[in-house]
Amino acid sequence: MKGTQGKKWLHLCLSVTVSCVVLFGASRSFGALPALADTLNPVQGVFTAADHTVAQTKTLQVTGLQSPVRIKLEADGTPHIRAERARDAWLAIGYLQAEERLFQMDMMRRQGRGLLAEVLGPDGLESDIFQRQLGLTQTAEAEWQNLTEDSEDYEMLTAFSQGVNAVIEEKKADHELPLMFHMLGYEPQPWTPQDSLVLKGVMTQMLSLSITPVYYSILAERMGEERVQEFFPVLPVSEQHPYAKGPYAKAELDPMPISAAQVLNQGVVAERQSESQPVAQAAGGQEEPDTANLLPKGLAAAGLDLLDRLNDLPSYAIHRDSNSNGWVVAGSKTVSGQPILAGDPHLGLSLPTIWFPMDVEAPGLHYQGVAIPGLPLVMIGRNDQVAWTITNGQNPQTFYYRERMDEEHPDQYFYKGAWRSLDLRTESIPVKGQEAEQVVVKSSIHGPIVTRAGVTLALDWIGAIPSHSLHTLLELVKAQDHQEFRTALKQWQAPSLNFVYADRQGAIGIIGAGMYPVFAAGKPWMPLDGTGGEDIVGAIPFELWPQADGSDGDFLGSANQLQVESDYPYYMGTTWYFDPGQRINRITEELAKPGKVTPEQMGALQNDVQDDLAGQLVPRLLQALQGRSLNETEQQVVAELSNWDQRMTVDSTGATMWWVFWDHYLHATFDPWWEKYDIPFKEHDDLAVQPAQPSLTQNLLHWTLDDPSNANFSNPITGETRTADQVMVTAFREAVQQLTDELGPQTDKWTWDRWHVREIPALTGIPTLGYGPKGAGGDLFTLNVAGVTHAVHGPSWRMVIDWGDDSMIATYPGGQSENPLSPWYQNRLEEWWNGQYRPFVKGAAVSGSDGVTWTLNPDSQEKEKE
Amino acid sequence: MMRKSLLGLVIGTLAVWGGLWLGWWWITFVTGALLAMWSLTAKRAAWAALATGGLGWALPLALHAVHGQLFALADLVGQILGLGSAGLVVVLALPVLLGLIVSGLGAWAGRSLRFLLPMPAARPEPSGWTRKEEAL
Repeated sequence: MKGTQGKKWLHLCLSVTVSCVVLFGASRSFGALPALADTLNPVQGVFTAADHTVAQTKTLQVTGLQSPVRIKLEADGTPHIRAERARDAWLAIGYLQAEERLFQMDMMRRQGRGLLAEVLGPDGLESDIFQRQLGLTQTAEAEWQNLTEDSEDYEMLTAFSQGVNAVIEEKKADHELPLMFHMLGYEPQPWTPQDSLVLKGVMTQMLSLSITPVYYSILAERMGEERVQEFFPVLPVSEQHPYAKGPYAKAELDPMPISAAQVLNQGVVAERQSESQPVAQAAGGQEEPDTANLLPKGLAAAGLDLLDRLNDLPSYAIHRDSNSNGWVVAGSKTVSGQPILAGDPHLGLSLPTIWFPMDVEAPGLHYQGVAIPGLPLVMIGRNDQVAWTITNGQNPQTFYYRERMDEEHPDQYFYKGAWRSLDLRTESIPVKGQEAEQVVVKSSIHGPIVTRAGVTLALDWIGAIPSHSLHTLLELVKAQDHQEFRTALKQWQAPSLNFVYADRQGAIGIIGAGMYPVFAAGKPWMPLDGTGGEDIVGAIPFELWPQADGSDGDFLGSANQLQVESDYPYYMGTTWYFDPGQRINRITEELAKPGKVTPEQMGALQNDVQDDLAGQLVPRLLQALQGRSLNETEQQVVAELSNWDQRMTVDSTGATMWWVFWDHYLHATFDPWWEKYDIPFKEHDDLAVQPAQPSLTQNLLHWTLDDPSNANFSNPITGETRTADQVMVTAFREAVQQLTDELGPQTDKWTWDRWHVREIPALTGIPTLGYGPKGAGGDLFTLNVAGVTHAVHGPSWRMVIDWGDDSMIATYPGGQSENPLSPWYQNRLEEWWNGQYRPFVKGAAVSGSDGVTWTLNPDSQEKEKE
Repeated sequence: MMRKSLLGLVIGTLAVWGGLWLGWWWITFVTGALLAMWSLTAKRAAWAALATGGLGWALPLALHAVHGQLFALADLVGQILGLGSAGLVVVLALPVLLGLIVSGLGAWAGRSLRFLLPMPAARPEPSGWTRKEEAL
């Protein structure tokens, strides 16, 4: 009897223990894995994402609306919003964007605010630490504080947030959050106006946060500054077709802060002064450092360490690639007699796409184009009077300062004759599955300290200075002619962008808008001296910004080339910053041809795959090969290249031969120098000789055509004296051998699509949610930009607007929805891939029967309360 | 007896479903435990708990197949998890399996607890388990 009782107790203990373990395990998340039971709950978990994948016509009540809003979604997902008040339109945009892109918006704000680790676990921590240092949250908060409650910007951001939050609440209540929230096991927090400002900061970061001065410093320490200037000169050595041709003047500089840190920490600075800071005068106990040495030891160590850090960040966190084509043709050269504007911004491609096309109409407001999800205004598009596109200005807006630190007081730096304390800010970063990470962000007057080894570098990024950029965008969408458009841009700070525009009255133009700092002294392409002598002293005034109105021709274009001639009186960047010029060459070549153009021709030009560099160099290569002893395969390649049209089409064998040759030619010329100076390119891809390096491309083209005996062709290791011809022949033979080894001996099988692919990866990095890789045309130098051998970067939106018939055609690589099960996930991708366009009509022109309609009504209970 | 069993099954399934609807997935455990305490035999307790757990998790899942793209979603989730071609089956089986495990554990715990509660004496275990009236 006693034994039976004991057994029962044992049974009970065992069952309760096992149950507790299983129940506890199922209810908890482990590492990045979400809680199993909640995720698999068929009523509330991941399976709810199976429902409502297709948008349906619906009518609903939304809190915060003052009058009904109609959102017409075309059959392809293109939305047209019509509201009776601007405020309601902005709220509806928030609602619409959150319906389609809530997870993307949340990830972008997390990236900006440094909150990725909270949902991704330790994998997101490096990015979070860097973002906390960058301080996008502080910038956004300052921008928000600068807005008054009666301002239009305030109303816009508040209404937009209300729209987003209506969706968050609705989806939470209905347990219908997007798939990835379930997969990661978290729910989105309410959206705030500051979140939209953080997203603006993320976009600014993507386009203007640069590490080029770090590259320069590493190379300079290894090669010496003179050699670096030879390989990576400040002024271009090849044709750039600047749109702002001069003559240029000098004028009084606009005032600007030394850095974002100076603006954001001004309270702290004042407090310091009241407490009789600085810490110690130089004449006192601490010794004044020697600032004369421009290349202190440890600069390369600091730079290499920083590169290591940055390699752990998402690829879009740092600006690396050249971006975008934009041109405008005056009415005198178009078939319609009115201007045609063409724009295709080049960015990292992803599914869902970075852009959110929309058409918005309310009293006093009608704009159409593409916005960043999370922002209510379009970056590129048109209103009823003005159309515009943008290309990245590429101008430097990121600077690094070498701070002189006191070894005995590690948190003190020397500035303007005195030792001062760094600003210290402790940030707590939540990490999924472990304790929150405490990070101390240290800032000098120039900005956050971003290095952990070697010389102490502070990062001064113009994008972190609180700005009125969102207000500028609002002014742009309301501009009634090109003059109002230009006036609105006066306040633009970062990123520096070339705004290409055309208005209904026929005016065309380009303005390179941005805050261009001017320094007291120093070489801004290198880390500057942080002791005060090389600070920013002002900004180039608006009148002297690069700009053109098309009065000296009938077209204007920008393809990330240097905007000004070499005699421009201010520093605008080195050759490392700008495109080497092949794309603007093609635009100029085509638009300079006689005859009038149509929007369809401009669309075809956006898809152009003619390689201008090949056009200049292949004849020179064939010349170098004349009279040489060639084997059978090499002879076949010569024959193919002789007949090649320099078009990088998928079925072209000449394209493959040219590209592999070019790659070998670059390496054959520069690799010996890199080896001589022990450049650590194997550990750091960014420092390697590569076709994407614009300065080397410019130089090699220039030397080959104009200076074939340049000493840099010689091999510094063997001492062998070489000319361009000799290096080309060597590179040619190596290229043919590599192709034979990798693609086989039959040269007619060496098609470009076997060597070059394009991929549109999913934003989440999950391979199955992406598109490709797939053989594709184009290359790094074609207007249809397609990277090197595996392109994940390219035209993210293509648009052509003809003011003659008020038409707009457009295409983009993706769809309106982030839901992989939605028919709008990638429904526009194939036509983009094939170079096709669709009309992007105005709302009034959309037929009533196609697509679905959402009618958003004011919340009746809320109205009753009022 | 049959009617009583069916009633228990329906009420249990609804309780599990309701719990899931409220986000209280552990109701499955509680239901399994109560059914086990209520049942006269251990085998009947196990069957009742497993049936309610299985049905309670499978039926709402089936509704997604009727109203939405359940199979496409399961396939997608399987691919995201790197499960390959078996992903669809695995992902669909997982919630049902979890329902079965949780309710089964509930039944075990409930049955173990039974000796502490003032319950009517259990009938001797039936020898013919396959008899019709014992099917549930």
